[in-house]
Amino acid sequence: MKNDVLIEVKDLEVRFPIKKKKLFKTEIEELRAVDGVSFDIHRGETVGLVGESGSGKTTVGRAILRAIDPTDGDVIFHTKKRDVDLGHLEGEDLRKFRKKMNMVFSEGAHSLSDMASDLLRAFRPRMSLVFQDPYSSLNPRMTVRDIIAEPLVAGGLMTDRDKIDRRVRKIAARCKLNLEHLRRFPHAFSGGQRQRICIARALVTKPDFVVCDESVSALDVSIQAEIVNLLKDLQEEMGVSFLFIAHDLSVVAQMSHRVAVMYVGKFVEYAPTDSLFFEPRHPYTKALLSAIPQADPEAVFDPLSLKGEIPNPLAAPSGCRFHTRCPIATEECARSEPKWREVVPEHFVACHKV
Amino acid sequence: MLKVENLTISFQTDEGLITPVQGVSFEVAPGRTLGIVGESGSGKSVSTKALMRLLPGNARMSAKTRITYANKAGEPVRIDRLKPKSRSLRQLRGGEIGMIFQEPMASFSPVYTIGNQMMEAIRLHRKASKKEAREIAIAMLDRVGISNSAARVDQYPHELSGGMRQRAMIALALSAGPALLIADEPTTALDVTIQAQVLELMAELQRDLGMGMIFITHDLGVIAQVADEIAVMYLGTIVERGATADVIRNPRHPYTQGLLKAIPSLNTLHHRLSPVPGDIPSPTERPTGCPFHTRCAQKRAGQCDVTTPPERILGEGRAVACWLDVGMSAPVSPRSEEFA
Repeated sequence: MKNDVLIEVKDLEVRFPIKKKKLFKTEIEELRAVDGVSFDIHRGETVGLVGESGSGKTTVGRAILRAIDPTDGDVIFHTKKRDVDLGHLEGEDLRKFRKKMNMVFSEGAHSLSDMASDLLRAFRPRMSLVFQDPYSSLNPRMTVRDIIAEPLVAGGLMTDRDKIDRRVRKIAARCKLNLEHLRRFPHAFSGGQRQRICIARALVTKPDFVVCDESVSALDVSIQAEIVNLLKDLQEEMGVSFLFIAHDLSVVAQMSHRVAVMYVGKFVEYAPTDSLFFEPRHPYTKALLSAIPQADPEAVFDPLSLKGEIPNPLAAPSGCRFHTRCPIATEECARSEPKWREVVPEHFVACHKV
Repeated sequence: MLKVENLTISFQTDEGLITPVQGVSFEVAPGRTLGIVGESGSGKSVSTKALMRLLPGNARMSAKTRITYANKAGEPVRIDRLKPKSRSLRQLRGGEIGMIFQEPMASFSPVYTIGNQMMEAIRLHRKASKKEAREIAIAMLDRVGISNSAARVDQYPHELSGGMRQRAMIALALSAGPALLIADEPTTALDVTIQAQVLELMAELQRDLGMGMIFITHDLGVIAQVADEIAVMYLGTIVERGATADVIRNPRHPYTQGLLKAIPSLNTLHHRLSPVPGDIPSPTERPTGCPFHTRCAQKRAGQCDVTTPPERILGEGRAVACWLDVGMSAPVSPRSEEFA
């Protein structure tokens, strides 16, 4: 697996212009949502991405899928035949390429039928707010069969009804949905079943890469465990790679082979799961880990309290971005930005104090 | 201070009568925290809304329900008997019992400043001039750790970040000086580091003010840290209750056991997670007998799916409603006859 890189992200930057209207002019400020992020994802691997809200983790996921256009940097998708630079793909090429990738948003992609006419435009609105509600991501007027078949039809991958049916049934069975379910409408399903429909829809085109953006966050614990298991099984069977974005660290630990911690648009630490969770190096990672409440009355809950909240990315702090909340920050941290370096093999950290 | 007996709530809907809460009883003592855990649809929010009489118009409380609350003056109040729109009910809401909701943005009005909304609550429940109320509001914001509170008090909710807003929400609920605080998933929408701050703040305020608290959440990790007693709810009934440490260390009900096992933990990183099989039945298709039997691995056919298990008292405040704990020969309880 080592040399089998699927996606390579190099110095990815996403900046959003923020317009400020003054009396006679409009000033444009830039919000650096993602500010120079580099990592890679191997075939069949799950990379976890954690961070507080506003850290830019969702933006990374969407920029890789070209749902948002990256401002700078490269996203390279290694296909078996040739390498394609997604950051600079346009028009028809981009459309063709989308079929190979797919996205399970927090609660599954929004009505894919809208995307048929113009995939690019349909993906472009930053839809994160729409997906907060697990019940709004499946079109209530479509049967489950049609919902799952939609990516095939919309992408023009298949036209023969029988073929489509066969494919839909196969993927539905893998996601533990039976034939009876396919005829029903989404309102008849519970949250966990809906999520399985969304997963089936994401995987029906047999993608190489799936972004799971908070895909299990809205589910109850008992159901969450089932979806995590399902995703792991499907990964084993189909060899798909996941970028698993979540704010719940224990779920990410369970899902991922490697985990990246993000803070105000930058990675602060990136390491194999065991190494990150049991030998965290960065003070921010340590604080995050200590803040998870454990369901164990004997566990001492003593979070390393961080002062204040995540800074506004419009006014990101100088030097190390974490220095305003860091318990061990010195004058140096406010002045110069720490280098991204490999402290032990495969364990990357950006901190002056490590 | 609060005693709820036999709380049963039904809703008249297009699909017929559904009963999301059936025969729930619990108590809250001053200075103590009762944690109510349950998945979505277990009726935990509906039960607490009933305590404030905030149920929608199509909801009916059963005649057997008794909600007794001892107010600040020490007089017992029958909350279930209060007339809607009565002065005593208005006094109760906010003044006696405060409430914090999950989504602070939805519970603040977007068109008034934070201070304006706090002053309204303060002036409703305390004798205070506008100026005094403003001072109380500023002091309260200070108390919950909002820096520069004199300026924040004139800001609108949208100008605050999520964590700040939740703090302001707590300040708002506390500004009228309630004796009991109901917190409905107060930290679910927050990031872990902010959640830790808010939990710490709530514990501190409770210690200082001696409030009773009902803390509703689906996160067993959070509940283990904040609650003194736990009630585990499933489909509108309490299936297990007891002291927090006891319930978590020694769960008796298969549902509680399943929930605890399903939590991903760093200690069991390379094990497969064990979910509770199946899905939560919809309230319109309530199973007969034990509500959990459709998902229970240890169910006994002919018993669990026929009659509701009685709640068996195991000790001080510790009880479980499961046939496995009762044994085959147990008599049919009065409770199951009631709902037969």
